[in-house]
Amino acid sequence: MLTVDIVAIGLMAVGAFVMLTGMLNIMKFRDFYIGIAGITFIIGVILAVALGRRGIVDTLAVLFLAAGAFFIITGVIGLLKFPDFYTRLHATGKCDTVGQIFIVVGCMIYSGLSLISVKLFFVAAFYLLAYPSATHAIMKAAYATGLKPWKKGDPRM
Amino acid sequence: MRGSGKAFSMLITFCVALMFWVLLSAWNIYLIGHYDLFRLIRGIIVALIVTITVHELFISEQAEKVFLKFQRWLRYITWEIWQIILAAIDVAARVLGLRPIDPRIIEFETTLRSDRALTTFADSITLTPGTITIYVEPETGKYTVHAISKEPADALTVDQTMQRKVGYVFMEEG
Repeated sequence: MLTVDIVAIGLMAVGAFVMLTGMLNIMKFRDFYIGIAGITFIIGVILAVALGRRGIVDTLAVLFLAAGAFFIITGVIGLLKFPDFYTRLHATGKCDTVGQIFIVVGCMIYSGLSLISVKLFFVAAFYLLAYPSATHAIMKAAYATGLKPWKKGDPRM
Repeated sequence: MRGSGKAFSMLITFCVALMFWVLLSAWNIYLIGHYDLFRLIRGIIVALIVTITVHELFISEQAEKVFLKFQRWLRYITWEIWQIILAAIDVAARVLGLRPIDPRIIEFETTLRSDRALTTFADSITLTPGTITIYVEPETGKYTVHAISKEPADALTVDQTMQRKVGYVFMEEG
């Protein structure tokens, strides 16, 4: 049984290493290899979840929830820090989407292979449709009413 | 739409609607202890109503094209999710002061014309690094986009990877 743990952790570690180093531009990987790394990571997660390894699964869920919380806090800081309406929408629109999706994925991992996971998957899919549409609608309304965008060098609004 | 195309789109819409119903109410159908036929029949009736009303909106092409497009769309969506995560890290770096911001509004034209392709591309722009769609003109495929800095703007106007990918998925390149 210990072998299974090592295999699952190994798969997740290799996948996460390639994805993180590619993401932060420490190493250059082609998109194809990043896709393979993603699939490797997902296989490791499914292995751990399917065999009911509570230790690994709970750690992963906590990591995903922490990543989601980090992105949402960053979005809030951006909302307070950025100079005008449009740039603030950039901060909230993107960081919130990814933060929510990370949190939902964390809950999916926590609840394992069950119907709750399927429903949470649909929730995540609807986030991906709803957030960009709402951001675009607010942006268009602001632009149509003639709000001037901030340029580099202007004073803060 | 020809007869066979109509039957095909109705069949696919019905299957998807029924699958959705079973997935979301499987707790009621299976876990009570016996196979609940009444709920399943209710699902079939609802799926039929949905099929008759919206099948033309859901699928409006021939069978071969739909499967090819779906395969391409799946590959596109994996690439897109990767880009979304990169976008969040990019914006987080700008929020925390690691990269500068230099907002600008850009305009460019694409070869996309159909509603679905235009919507997909607009949503993709909003989700990927530092750009948000403001206006879309369906007749000319013209996009007005607010970019947070120079590099994301160049990715759309000079590099044009995403236009080519969306055009490839919906078969509307040039």
